[in-house]
Amino acid sequence: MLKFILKRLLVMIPVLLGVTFIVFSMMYITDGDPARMMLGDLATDEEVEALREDMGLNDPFFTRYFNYLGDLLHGDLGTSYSTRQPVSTAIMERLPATIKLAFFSCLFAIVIGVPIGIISAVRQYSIIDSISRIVSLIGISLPNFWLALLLMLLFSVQLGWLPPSGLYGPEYYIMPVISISAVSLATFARTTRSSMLEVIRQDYIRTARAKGQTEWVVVTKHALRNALIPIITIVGVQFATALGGAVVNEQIFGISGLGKLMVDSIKARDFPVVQGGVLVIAIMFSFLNLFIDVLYAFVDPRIKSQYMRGSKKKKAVAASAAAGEAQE
Amino acid sequence: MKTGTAKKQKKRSQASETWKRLRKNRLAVVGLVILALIFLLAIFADVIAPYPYDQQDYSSTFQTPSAQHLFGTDNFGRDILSRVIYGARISLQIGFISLLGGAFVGCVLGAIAGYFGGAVDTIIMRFNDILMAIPRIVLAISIASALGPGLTNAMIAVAISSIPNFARVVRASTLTIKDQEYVEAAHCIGANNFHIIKRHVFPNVLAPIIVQATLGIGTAIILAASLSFLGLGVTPPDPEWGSMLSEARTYMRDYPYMVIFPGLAIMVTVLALNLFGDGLRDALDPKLKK
Amino acid sequence: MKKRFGRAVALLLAVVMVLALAACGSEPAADPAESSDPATSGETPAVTGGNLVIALPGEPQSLDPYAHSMYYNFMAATLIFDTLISKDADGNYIPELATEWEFTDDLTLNVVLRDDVYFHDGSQLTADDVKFTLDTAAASSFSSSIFAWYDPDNTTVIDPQTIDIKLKYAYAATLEVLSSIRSAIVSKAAYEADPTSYTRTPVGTGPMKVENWYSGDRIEFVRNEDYWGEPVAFDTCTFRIIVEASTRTIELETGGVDIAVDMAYSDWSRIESNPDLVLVSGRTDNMASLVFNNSIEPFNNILVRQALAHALDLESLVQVCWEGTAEVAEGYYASSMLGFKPEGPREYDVELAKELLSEAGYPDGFSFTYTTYQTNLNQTFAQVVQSMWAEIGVDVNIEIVDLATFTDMNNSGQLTAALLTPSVAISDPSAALILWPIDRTISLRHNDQHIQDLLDAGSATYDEAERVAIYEELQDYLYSMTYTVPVAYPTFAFGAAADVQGFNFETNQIPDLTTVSVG
Repeated sequence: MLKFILKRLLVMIPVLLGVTFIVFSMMYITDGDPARMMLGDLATDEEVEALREDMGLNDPFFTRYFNYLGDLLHGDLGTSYSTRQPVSTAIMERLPATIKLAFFSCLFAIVIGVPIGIISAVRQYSIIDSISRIVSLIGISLPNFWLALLLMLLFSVQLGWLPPSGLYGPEYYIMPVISISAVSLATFARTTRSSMLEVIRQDYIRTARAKGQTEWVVVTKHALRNALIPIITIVGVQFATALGGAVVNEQIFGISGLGKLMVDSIKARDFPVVQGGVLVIAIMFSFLNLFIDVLYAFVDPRIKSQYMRGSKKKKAVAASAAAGEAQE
Repeated sequence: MKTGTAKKQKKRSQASETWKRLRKNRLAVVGLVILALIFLLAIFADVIAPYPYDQQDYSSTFQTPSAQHLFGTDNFGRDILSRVIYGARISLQIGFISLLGGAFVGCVLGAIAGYFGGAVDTIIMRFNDILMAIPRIVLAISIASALGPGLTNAMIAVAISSIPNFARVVRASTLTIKDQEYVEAAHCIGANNFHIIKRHVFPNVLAPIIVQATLGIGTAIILAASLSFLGLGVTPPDPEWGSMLSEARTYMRDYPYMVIFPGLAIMVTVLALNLFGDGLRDALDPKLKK
Repeated sequence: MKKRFGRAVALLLAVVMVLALAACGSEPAADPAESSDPATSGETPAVTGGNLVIALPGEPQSLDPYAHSMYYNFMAATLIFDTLISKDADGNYIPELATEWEFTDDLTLNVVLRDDVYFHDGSQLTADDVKFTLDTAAASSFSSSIFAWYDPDNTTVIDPQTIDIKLKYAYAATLEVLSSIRSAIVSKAAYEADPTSYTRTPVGTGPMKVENWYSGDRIEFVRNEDYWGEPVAFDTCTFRIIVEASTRTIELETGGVDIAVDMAYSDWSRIESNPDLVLVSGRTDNMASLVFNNSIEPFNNILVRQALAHALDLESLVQVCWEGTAEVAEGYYASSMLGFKPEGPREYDVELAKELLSEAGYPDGFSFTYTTYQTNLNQTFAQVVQSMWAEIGVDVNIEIVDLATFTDMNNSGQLTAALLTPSVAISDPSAALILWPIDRTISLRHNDQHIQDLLDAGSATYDEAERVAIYEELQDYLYSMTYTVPVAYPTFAFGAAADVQGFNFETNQIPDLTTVSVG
C-alpha cells in the first residue's frame, strides 16, 4: 500500500508540472497586455513599454517559464498584476469559501442522492422509483446556472426568504448548494440505483435471502457494501463537478471564492493569479483522487490483493463503467 | 471472403438487435423524437422562426408572451421564440461537432495508449492526467480566453476539454481487448498494428464510446452555455441560449419570462439526449439493463 | 467481511470528519475584526447606528490615490485622506490641510499648512509630504495628465509648514486640482518605505482608516481617533463589493446597505417609487462620444465622417441605449463647464448623408468592422448604429471582444470607431477634453496640431474671458472637423436609504463621504 501511495505521489509531480506548463502557455498566447491594463488608458506607449520590461513581459517564453518555476520551488506563486498582493494570499483568502461550497454540495448530493438510489433500486418499478428516475434525469439535464437563477428569482426576488448574495451564514448556503449539487445528486442517485440493481441480481444476494435474512440486512450488509465501490469512484469526479459548478455559481450569488477569482483574473489578464489558482486546484484534485484511490483499494479486497498492474486494469474498467453513468 | 461476409452479417444483426431493443424502450424513443424535432427546428429555422433572430423593434421591447410573440420579446424588441429556435442551431453545432471532435482525438489517443502500452501509454496518460487535473470548466474558460471570443473558439475549447474522458474509457476497453485471443490470432497472421486497431479494437470499444458520446453531447451543450453565460465563447448578438440567459439576468426581476425560455430549451435538449443515451446504453448491452 | 466493511465505514467517517474539520478550520472563534474568512465572520454588515454600509460595483484595485483611476477607489480616499484645500457648498475654496495659499506670481503658489495634523501612523504632516505627494502624482501614469502643470524640480519646501509650489506654466485649474481628492496627501515616509503598502493599508491624515480588507468581499474602515478636524458621523464604514446591479438594488431594499453605487437603469423607477429609498442622480462631467479612427480609410475623409453623423438619429439612439436616462449631447463637453458652447447635434438626414457619401467617393457605401467590448450599453449601441448606417449603405460587422483585448486594440490604433466615455478628473475643460491631446495613443488619431495649440493655449492662461474665447474657438473647430460625434450626457445614479443625510453627488462621481450621516 505504501509503495502504491509513494508511486502515485511521484507521478503527481510531472503531472502538476505539466499543468503549470499548459496554463502558462495559454496565458502566454492570450491577447491583452497586462501592463496596459495596470497603467490604464492615459499611459503613454513609453510608460507601458517600461513596465513591460520591468515585469519581464518581453522576455522569451522559456525564460519566463523557468523563472516562474524557480519561484514556485521557493513557494512563491508570484504577485497579482491588479492588486500587487502575493498570489498565495489572494488564493488563500478565497479558497475556504469555494471548498465549503464544494464540500457541502458534494455532501448534500451524497446524503440525499445515495439513499434515493437505494430506495429506487430496492423498490424497482414502483412509483417512487419512477419519480426519482425522472427527477434524476431532469437533474442531470439542468444547466446549474439556470437553476441558480430560478432559485434566486423565486426565493430572493419574489418571496424574499433567502438573501441573494454573500456567504455570511447558513441561510446563504442554501441556494448555491442546491444549485451546485443538483447534477451530482442526480448522478449519485442514478449510479447508486444501477449499481445496487446489478449487485442485487448476484447469486450471493439470493443466497442471503434464501437463508432467511431480512430485507434490511440483505440490503445493508450484503448489497450496499459492494454497490458502494463504483459510487466511491465517482466521488472524486463529483467533487470536480462541484468545484466547476462553484465557478459559475459564485458569479451568480456574488460569493468571493476561488472560482470567481479565476474568472475575474482571466478577464483582467491577471496571469499570475490564474496560473496560481489553477495549480492550487490541480493539487487539491490530485490529492483528492489519490485519497479516493486509496479508499477504493481499501474497500475492494480484490484490488488490494493485486494492487499494481492488475488493479489499474480492473479499476479502469470498473471506473469506466461507472463513468459511463457519471456526468462531469 | 466468407469470414468477411459472416462478419458483416454479424455486425448487421448486432445493429438491428440493438435497434430492436431500443425501439421497445419508450423513454428512449421519446428522447429520439424530441431530438429529431430539435434538429428540424435547427435546420429549418429560417422557415419556422416567425422573425429573424436579430430584428430589433424598439416599440415592442419587453413584451410578455402573447399571440404575436409566443415567448415574448427582449430588451431590443427581438422575438425570443425565434432566438430560441436559431439558438438550437448553435447549441447543436457546438454540442455535436465539439464533442465528436474531442471524442475522435480522445479515442485515437486512448486506443494508441492502451494498445502499445509502455512509454507511449505513459506519455499519453500523463498528458491526459494533466488535462484531467483541471476542472473542465476552468480548462474551457482558459482555452476560450486564450483563443478569443466566437463560436469556433468555443467549439475548440469544449472539444479539448472533452478529450480526457474518451481517452480514458477507450484505453480501458483497449486493455481488456488487447489480451483477447482474436487479437493474438491477428498478430499471428501478420496483421500490422494499425490494421488490428482499426479492424478489431475499434469495433469492440464502439459501444462504450457511443454511450459516452451521447451523454457527453448534453454536457458539451451545457458547458458551452456556461461559457457564453460568463461572457466568453459565443458572443451577442448570436442567440446562444447561455448568452441569452446572461443578458436576461439584468431584467430578471421585472421580466422573468426572459430567463425561463432559453433555460428550458437547454434542459429539454439535454434531457432528450440523456433519455436517448440511456436507452442506447441499455440496448447495446442487455446485461446492464435495469 | 464484517470487519472489513466496518473498517471501511470507519475510514469513511474519519474522512468526512477530517474534511469537515478542515473546512471549518478557518472558522474564527468570535470577533469579525480578527477573522480572515469572509464566509463565517459573523453577521451580515448592517446599519446599527454606527456603521455606514456602501455597495460598490467592483473591488477597488488599490487605495493608493496615484495607482489607479477608478471612481469608487476615490470614494474610499475621501475617508482616508485629506487635500490641501476644499470647497464649500457654494463652490468657494476653503482651508483643509492648508490654512493659507496665494499665487505670489503666475508660476508660484505659496501654501501654508496646519501644524496639528498627524498621519494614521502617528507621524506629523509636513511640507515634505506635500512635495512628495505632488512629485509622485506628476510621475504616475494615472495622474500625470492632471499634474502636467506641476514643476517638481523647482518646487521648494521653505519650512515644515510652508511650501512654494512651482508651475511649469500658468495653469488656470491649479486650485481645482488641489481641492480634488485626486491630490490626496500621502505620507512620504510610509510611501517611500513601501509603496505597495498603500494598495491595501494606506496611511493618510483623514477621519477614517482601513481596518480590514476581505478580498473580493468587503473593506472595513474605522474611525481615526486622532483626527485633527471634524469627526464623521459614523464609527465604522463598510464597503461591500456587490458586482451584480440587481443584487445591489435588492440589498438596498432589504436594508443590507445604506448607499449603493451605480444603479441599473431598470431599477431607477423601482427605487424612486419606494418610500424608504431615494435615488440620487445627476449629470456627470462625462460625455459619451462616437470616436472615429481618423488615421485610416475611409474615416480620414471628412465627408464620410459627416455622412455617418447625419445618418444617426441621436434622439432615438440615446433613448434606446441609455433607456431614457441620458440626454443627447449638445457639444464637446458638459454644458455646466467653463466656456461651453452648444455645437450640433447634426440634423438626422438620411438623404443628405447619402449625398455626402457619394461625394466622398462611396456611392454604394462601404463596410467595416466595429469592435467593442461586452456591456449592455456597448452592445445596444453597436446594433443601433449598425441598423442606422445600413440605411445609407454602410455595412457594419459587429465584433465583440473582452475589455482587455479592446483596451489593447484601442491603444494600438486598431479600432475603426468606438463609443468612448472618458472619465473627467476635474471639472475643468482641460480635463474634459482629455480625448484630444495629440500624443494620446487611443484610436482617435486626429494628428491635428491646431487642436493641440488651442488646448495648450486654453489651459495656460488664468484669464477666464480669454479661456472662454479659446475654448469656443476650439469647439467650433471640432464641430467642423467631425473627428468625433458627441452622443450623450449620461446620468449617474446612487441609491440611498431615505434616512441617509448629507450624501451629495459631485459631478465627477466621487461623493464626499465625510458629510454623510444615517438617521
